[in-house]
Amino acid sequence: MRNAPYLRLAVTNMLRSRRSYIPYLIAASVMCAICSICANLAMGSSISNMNYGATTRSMLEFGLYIMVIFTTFYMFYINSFLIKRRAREFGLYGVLGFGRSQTARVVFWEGVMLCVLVIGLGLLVGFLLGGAVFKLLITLTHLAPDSRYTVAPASMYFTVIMFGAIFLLNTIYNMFRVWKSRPLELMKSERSGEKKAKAVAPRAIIGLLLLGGAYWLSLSAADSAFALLLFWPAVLMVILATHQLFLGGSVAILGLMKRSKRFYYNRKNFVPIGGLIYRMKQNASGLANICILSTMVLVTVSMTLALYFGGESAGSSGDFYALFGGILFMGFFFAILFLTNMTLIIYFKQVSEGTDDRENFALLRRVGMDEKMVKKTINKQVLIVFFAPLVVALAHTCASSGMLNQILGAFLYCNPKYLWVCIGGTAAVFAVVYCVVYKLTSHAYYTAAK
Amino acid sequence: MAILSVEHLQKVYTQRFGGVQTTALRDVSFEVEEGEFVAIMGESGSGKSTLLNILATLDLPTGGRVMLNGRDTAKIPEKEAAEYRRRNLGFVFQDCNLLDSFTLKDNIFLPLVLGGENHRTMQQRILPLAARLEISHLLDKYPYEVSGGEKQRAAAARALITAPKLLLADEPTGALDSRSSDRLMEMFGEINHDGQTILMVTHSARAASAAGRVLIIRDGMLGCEVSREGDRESYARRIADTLAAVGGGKIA
Repeated sequence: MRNAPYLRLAVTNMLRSRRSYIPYLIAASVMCAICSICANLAMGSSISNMNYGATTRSMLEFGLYIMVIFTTFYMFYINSFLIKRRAREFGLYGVLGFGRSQTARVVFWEGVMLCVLVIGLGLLVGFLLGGAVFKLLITLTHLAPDSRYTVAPASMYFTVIMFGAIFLLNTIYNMFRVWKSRPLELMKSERSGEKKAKAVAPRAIIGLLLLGGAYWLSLSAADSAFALLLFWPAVLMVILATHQLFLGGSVAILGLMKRSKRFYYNRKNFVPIGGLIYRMKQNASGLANICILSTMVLVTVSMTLALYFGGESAGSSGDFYALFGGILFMGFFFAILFLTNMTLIIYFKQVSEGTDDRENFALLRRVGMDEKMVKKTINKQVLIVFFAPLVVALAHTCASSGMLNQILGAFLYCNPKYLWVCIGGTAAVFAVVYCVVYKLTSHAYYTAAK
Repeated sequence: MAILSVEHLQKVYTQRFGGVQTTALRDVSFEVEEGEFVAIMGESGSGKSTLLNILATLDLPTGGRVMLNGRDTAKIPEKEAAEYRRRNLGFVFQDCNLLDSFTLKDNIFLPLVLGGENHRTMQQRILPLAARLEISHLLDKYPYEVSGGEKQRAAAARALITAPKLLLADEPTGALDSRSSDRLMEMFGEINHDGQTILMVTHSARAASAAGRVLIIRDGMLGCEVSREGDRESYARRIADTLAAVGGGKIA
């Protein structure tokens, strides 16, 4: 077969870079499984026959649309991240006399294999967990507890078509990248990202102003109509502000630290500060994304919990459970979706930075830095980089409480203290999960840097 | 008194599984006097890098010993090794010498910062050194903004700023064009003239001709020795001829 050599090369490639492909595969499969479960519940006949089932179902349908948008976005984001890191490898193919169309064919087969694996795994996991998830939904929405779970073929088609389309677009994008580039440029492109940050002060100021504005909007929200109207603009402002602040703010603060000679030329601070400034331009958008994802998890979960429990205590009808149980259910699923993506982004960051830092630490050892100090330096750098997003996300969530309370008020009478209890509980659980993710991925950094 | 004496040095690598043994250094002995500039030559695989790694205390010998300034380097405890390296040795490698995240000045300061020196001392030490190596105007630039030769001069400044007992250079001209190589070797000569002891591993007979004495290694043994006599050109030719006679080596 004419395609056999390309297919074999694609398999070898993926096995060789399994450190990045296995996490990608797992994350994509999780997203696929979530989508297939939600699609099945929204499209299948499992719920629609019950009392208030229609409400729950339309709720799930709406949630599914939003999920499709997020999933597509993240799949593109992760793919472009992965393909950028392989620029050097493609350059090498070119140098070895492998034509661009031949490289593109290898990329094509990689895409096909990933697509088949992800859809297969996703559907399998979705099928296995679907029943349990269905039970959870029934409990939350107080629907008929003895109803049966069935798999709707339409939902499977939907999942296959949706992920097939995402992989098709990603593969076309990857082939296009291989096609339009020249070998020598490709060889260089991996390092060219490391430039110094520009327009630091304006960015920091714009970020602060936007963030201040958004916080003020949220905390001063006096009625629910106002809050509902301005919720999305405020979210947008926070997203923009977070990006500007992580770039401008971090470099500005580190610059100030550098200005103090005594502080900067101290053996404890010198290497971490230098490394952080240098990497911030690349780091900033990744960190901002981690921060935004964390905020999304925190806000979604605390909001849905507050809706469910706050409303429950206020007295309720069947319709209430059908609606808010559905919302709570979707909230959990979105939280899993965001968490999966956050973990993956953090993991890739750790691995790629560990790889970049390997040579630097080898040099530091030769120049006379002992192993203990190398470890300390790594810890300091990694700690600052990964806990900054968590701290900022917690601040965002607290600030959002003003608007969230007003929005909750639009749906039902609700005591503000419920929201705070929910935020507190969610934040505590989230912080623990975040620390676990950090611990697991920092191991990846060490192995890569060794 | 010899500042460095290498006595019957032997290094055998044993593979973890299967027990296949590779001898990198069979039996190497030589001495370097204080203020000398010695070059070590040999083809790839001759054991040059192993020798340098042992001298740098980054690797341990399987036999014989290295005495630096009267101290057996194998007996330095692991904990003190990093500090010992910082205080007594300066390194210049072929490439990847400088951290891209720091300006040349901060790169040069690195060993002093690790040693806990104050900023004023650093400033005082860098000025004459930068002038000597002609990089004073480049101190605030980043490594990716300067040429390869300038990078190597900055690396030399970093190696020298601690006033090390011994400067170890591993193919310092390996990645440079011939003009920058000559310029760097000229500067090594001047630094040596000021009293700095230098031990350099190199492939190039031309670079080696900057040294007062050239030791040629082959198959983990010291082959022979060439000392400076006559002008630089004829010295370089003699090194190249000897190298060819001993076996292998590039004439460049």
